[in-house]
Amino acid sequence: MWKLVKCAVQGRGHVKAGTPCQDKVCTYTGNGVSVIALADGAGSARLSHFGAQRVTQFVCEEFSDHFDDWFQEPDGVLVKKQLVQKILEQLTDLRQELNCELRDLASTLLVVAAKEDCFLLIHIGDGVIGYWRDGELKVASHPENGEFANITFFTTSSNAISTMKIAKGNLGNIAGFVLMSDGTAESFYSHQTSSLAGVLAKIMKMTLIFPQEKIEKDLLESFEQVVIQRTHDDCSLALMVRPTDSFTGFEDLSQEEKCDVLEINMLTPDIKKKLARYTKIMRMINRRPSCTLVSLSREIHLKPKYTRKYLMNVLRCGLIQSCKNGHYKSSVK
Amino acid sequence: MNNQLVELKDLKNNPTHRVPVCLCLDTSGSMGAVTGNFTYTGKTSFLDGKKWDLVDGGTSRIFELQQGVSLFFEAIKEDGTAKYAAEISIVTFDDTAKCLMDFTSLEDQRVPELTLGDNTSMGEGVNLALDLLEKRKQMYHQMGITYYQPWLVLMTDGEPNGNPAELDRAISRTVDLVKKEKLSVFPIGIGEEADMAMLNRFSPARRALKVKELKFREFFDWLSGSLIKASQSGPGEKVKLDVDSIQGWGEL
Repeated sequence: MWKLVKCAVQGRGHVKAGTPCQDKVCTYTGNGVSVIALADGAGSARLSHFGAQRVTQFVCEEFSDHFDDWFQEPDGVLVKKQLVQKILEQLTDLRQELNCELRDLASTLLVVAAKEDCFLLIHIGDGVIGYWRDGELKVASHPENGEFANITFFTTSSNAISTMKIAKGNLGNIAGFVLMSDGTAESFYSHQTSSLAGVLAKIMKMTLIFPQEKIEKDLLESFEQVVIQRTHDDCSLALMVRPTDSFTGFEDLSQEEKCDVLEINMLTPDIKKKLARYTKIMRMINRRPSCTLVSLSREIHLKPKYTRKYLMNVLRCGLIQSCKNGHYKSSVK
Repeated sequence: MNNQLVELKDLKNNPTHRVPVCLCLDTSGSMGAVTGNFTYTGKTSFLDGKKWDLVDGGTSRIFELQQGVSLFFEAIKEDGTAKYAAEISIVTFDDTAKCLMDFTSLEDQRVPELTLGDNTSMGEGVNLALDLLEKRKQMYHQMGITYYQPWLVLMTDGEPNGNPAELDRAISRTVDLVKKEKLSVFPIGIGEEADMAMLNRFSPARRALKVKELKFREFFDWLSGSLIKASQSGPGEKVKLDVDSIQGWGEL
């Protein structure tokens, strides 16, 4: 039910210095659990990209395999201690493989896992965790820095347990979660108002409308061309989103958003009527296993030769796929 | 989609992380000492606790210091990140301590003229510099602006001869902040007469550096390069200052 997407881009400073992208993201679905994880390797730690990679993979597997155990444990301090211990065990193994010090593998960590109506949230260090509920974006966990901008806490820090933030609860109307590294937060989080950029809601909506591959490709393009220009640091993001009563898909977009998705001008004559036809087409395709030109033509009360133009446009935009025998189906199902 | 998924207009505008820097500069009478081609006038003067021969010509320490500070400003302004990140104030100390230039955007700043006084009220100067840095940090907090560890650059060519209690308080405050990793201090001795032992008392983490006369340009070049690196550092990224190289040319 959840759709998961991720993106990580090497920062300008790291390109210049020849250091690898130290931001790592991982998404995982298994055992009825969906998990997104992000780790930002410490700039001062020479192999932190390996540490970040290992930690994100580990937490995805751990929460997928043992979600109920973690969720049902009432003692939050015990959860923090056990999780840090397991992370350090993973990093100790990796340290031996790489013949390095534990501190060389330091990274932040941001995780959200969801199963049925329950969620878990873990945060060590900086970066931001946000959520989307009833059409509103809110911050679930703010960046944890010391007094100065270049000070934060890592998985290997002696105070990892005391600075770790954890949360759990029922999802209710929560439709999405987003994790971002501090590099991305420079663009999507206001340090002055502690609020998130509205474009994250757009990304969540688009994730529900388009196939994962297209969203990840578009995200990567946006990050490479826009987001990394705001910082020297690596930029990464992982999000998970699901349809809810307040947003099910294309038909719940605003007129402006529909025009944006369909690549048509808002000032086109009879735009309202045209958008209503597009909406009917998308609703029918989303609700039925497959549709034909003729069935869609009947639905929108338009001759097939005109209906074909509408179909070709939604096909071109990637909202639907053509199947055998002249049938069409949604791209996201 | 018509446009990119994320466009520039969609992004939050966060202020650049700031690096507050206070240059705490000795403008006592001894900073008028000259090198180069000069001729003695046969006259003498008593300044900064010493008798001085008056000369015509030559290049004074304060003139070179003024040039060095100007080059420092120019180098910072030329860097795309540092020009928005670095915020610089200048405190001078001679008979008294003065804030010659308060923190503001670098674009609006012009290097003020350094003028000579008499004595060396170093303690008073450092205390004023620390007060200004603290005030600036409070402003950042109130405005929601993130910042890096502040820098204090202390430059003198002689021995302090201001209020001893103020000097002790300045040393104690500086050492306490450095030990708590809340301040980077750069004590710089100018010329052979600088009291290096005294400067070292300000710096528990690294030894004070000696810069010979007419080497200010190299020092400020190094300082601006270090500041540019610091302004681009990320979390967990401690900027390694190439102190060895500066020590090398400082001893030339």
